[in-house]
Amino acid sequence: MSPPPFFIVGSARSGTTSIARILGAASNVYLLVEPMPNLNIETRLMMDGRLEDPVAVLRGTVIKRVETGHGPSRIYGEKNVTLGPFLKYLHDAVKCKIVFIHRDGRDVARSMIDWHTQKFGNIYRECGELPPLARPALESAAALPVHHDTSDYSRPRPPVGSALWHDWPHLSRFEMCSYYWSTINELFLDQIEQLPRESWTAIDYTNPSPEELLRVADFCGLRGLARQEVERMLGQRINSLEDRGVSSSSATLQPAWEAWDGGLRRNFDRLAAATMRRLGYYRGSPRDWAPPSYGKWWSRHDAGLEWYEWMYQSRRRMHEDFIAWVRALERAGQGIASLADFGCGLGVGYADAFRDRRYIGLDLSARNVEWCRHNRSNPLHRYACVDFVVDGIGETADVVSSSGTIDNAYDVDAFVQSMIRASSGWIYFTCYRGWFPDLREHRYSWDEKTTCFYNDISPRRIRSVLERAGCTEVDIRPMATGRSDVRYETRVIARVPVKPAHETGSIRAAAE
Amino acid sequence: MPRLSELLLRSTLLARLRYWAGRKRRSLLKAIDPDTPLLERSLIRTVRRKFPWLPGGGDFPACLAADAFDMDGYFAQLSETYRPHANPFHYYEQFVDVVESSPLTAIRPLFELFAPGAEQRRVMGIRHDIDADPVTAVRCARHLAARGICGSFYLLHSAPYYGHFAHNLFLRNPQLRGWVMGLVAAGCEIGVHNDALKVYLEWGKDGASALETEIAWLRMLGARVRGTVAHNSGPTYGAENFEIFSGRTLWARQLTDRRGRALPLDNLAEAKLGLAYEGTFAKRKHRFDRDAAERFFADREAASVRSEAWMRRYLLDNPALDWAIDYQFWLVGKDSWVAAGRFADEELFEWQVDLDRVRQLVLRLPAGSRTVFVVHPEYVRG
Repeated sequence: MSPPPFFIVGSARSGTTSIARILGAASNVYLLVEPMPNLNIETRLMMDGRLEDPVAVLRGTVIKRVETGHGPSRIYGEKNVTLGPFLKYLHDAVKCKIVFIHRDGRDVARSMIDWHTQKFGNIYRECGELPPLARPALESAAALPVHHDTSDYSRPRPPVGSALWHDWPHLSRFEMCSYYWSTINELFLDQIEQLPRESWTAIDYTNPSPEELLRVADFCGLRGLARQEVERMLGQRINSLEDRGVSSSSATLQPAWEAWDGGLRRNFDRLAAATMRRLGYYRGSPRDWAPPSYGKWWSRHDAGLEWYEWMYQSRRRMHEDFIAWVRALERAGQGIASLADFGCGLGVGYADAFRDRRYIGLDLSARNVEWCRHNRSNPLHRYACVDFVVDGIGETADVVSSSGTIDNAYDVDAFVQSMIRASSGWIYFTCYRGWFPDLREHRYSWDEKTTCFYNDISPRRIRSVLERAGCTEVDIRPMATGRSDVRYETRVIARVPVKPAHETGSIRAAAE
Repeated sequence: MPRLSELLLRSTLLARLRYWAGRKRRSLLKAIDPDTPLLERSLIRTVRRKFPWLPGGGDFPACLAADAFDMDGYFAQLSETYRPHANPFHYYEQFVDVVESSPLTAIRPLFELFAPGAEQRRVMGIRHDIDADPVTAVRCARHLAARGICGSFYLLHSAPYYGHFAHNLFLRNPQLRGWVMGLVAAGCEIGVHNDALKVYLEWGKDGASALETEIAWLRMLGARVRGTVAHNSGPTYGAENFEIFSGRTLWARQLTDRRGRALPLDNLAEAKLGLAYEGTFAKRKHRFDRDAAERFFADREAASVRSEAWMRRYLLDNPALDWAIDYQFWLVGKDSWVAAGRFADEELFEWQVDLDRVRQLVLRLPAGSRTVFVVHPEYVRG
């Protein structure tokens, strides 16, 4: 018995064309990419609840194609991104298999924006945002009146009367694309979950491997695909902008998500985080914004004591300010019995300055923590290797500080919130990259070589996070460094809100 | 309350005074945008040769734009003027629902109104005459884009929001480009609301050339201009604006501008300008009564969209014009429409009907009929 026909589905810009071309190279397949009629209009009507007889629509289009193209010697395959609302009906009618492709929504949203600005200019044409369009995109948009633009029509819009429907005219195109990715993937997931498990498979196309492609080919019953050929085709980046003959300078392209600012991150998460979790791209923690290689450099690279001492000296004024601030608190009658240091490195400076009290040094680098444990023998001090942003420290300290670490964090707001959680009194941190009073959002920049971010911190965003967390006596200011490369750093001090008794447990008690 | 045109003139004069008092004479020609089309470059250069004392041309120099185009004042005045007549924008959304939800309907841009393929349907077009409010026009276009509907939008080149003449140089509002780009991005049809006769009669300039230049400028921005719609009506100028096009003159007559120069009616070839249609879809009456036509065109006092008698005469019993379309629905105020037309000897004229009634009328429109809804965005700006 010949294998059933199959359909390749997924959101636009997820790799559906790429996988279709690759599977289309099999020897026993008859595979069509978006054959006409492609149900662009019907899919929107279906999503809006305005299509009365979906089965009749399928009978007149897709099912007819299956009947013509499928046979004992060849398997019919079709790639169409518009089949989302029809999958159950389609499966009932032709007992097909479904290949569901998904890709990290952040990559898809970026790709859609580039598709819009560089090539077609027609993604969510109602959007009020008017970015400069590359000439081909402008010409393409101008040549395609909206009533003939069934591709844009096929994209989902929020249901009339919903909260998002009211906001829709004011959303940026990026937000609309995020909404698209989330809505379409939710639709596909809802549909395939109604099908027998053996009739569908999913493939993550964020970083596809030849083995995964061959697994899908096998699922579809395809023959004649060699691993080497699959690998070669994957390397071609099929249907990318380059593949479509567009050469764009990176300055005109939407940045990769690792370089999104805090506002883009929040907007994406507001619209798509639930789907990111459902598809397994998010685990539901701030670490979702950490690339897989985050922090690897620190575990591989042995900077050594000398380097950390040099670092301490180069920002000596900032460190001295912190130590003086702690002393001043004490003089003012506030007992500072314990301190936690987020990103302690080798404990240079602070291990001595706070030798008379509890000091807990936390670092992402196991190598650093191990060094401290061997070389810092103060019984009041403890060192731990944790990702303090997500893991916390399991106890609270009178002061939680951090010196120039937040600049390399994967989530600045989460970093601050983690400091607040760990503190029973104050938080104090400095940002070594400078003072950026005009920034509305934190500016992230990822460096794969050193496997960390380089963040420009927005003082007003920090204030907003602190105030929303209930912090008082918030003091955010530029601190003169006395250096010529970075004249001012950012210093943040805040008193954290009093925690309920069950949430506090002093480090001293924990140590005892 | 000063009129819009007075406000504009006043601010322009102020800007000029400031310019001459505070700045050296300089050639702004050097700052011509590289995208400026050849036609416009040549126009600017000619003007600068003839009038070297002029400060600049083309799109208004940014340094003077804020003064010369006091758009805050303009829109404040617009709000005031249209407050008694304007509907909330939601009304426009409801109107689109009415048009879209009627069965067997094909909503088309005006350039496709007569295209084959919808013989069994009610063919409808939504014409937007942007007399005064380009911001709401863009909003309308975006709303239609989300619904996959292509409306037709006509920019009035003689409107204060668009531009004005300083001596012989036509200066465009710097914000205009953004509005046009907004319309292009939304995928609607863009055309020119033809007011060539005003340019001749009230400004004493070459109206045909003005029309030609603006079509070229819009195309330079990416708009596919396929048609024009004549602004105002025959009684306003003694001729319809579309009469400047070859073959569209209603009857031979001598019209002159303020200096007594004859207006060049029957002058511009639409085909040469790449124009495929004239969107009033008016044509010389089959049984043309010249005396009646002259009387109708001469009675400027009576011409008003607020007059039932005149609207009936204009839309249904026009002594000079027949319509190639079957029905017209004009939004003329707060939930107030005029519906008029004929189809297969059935006559329709209803005055000041609300949207519910429009819905009923739309449902009764016969298959094969062609209907144009005329919306001035300022009536839905609330």
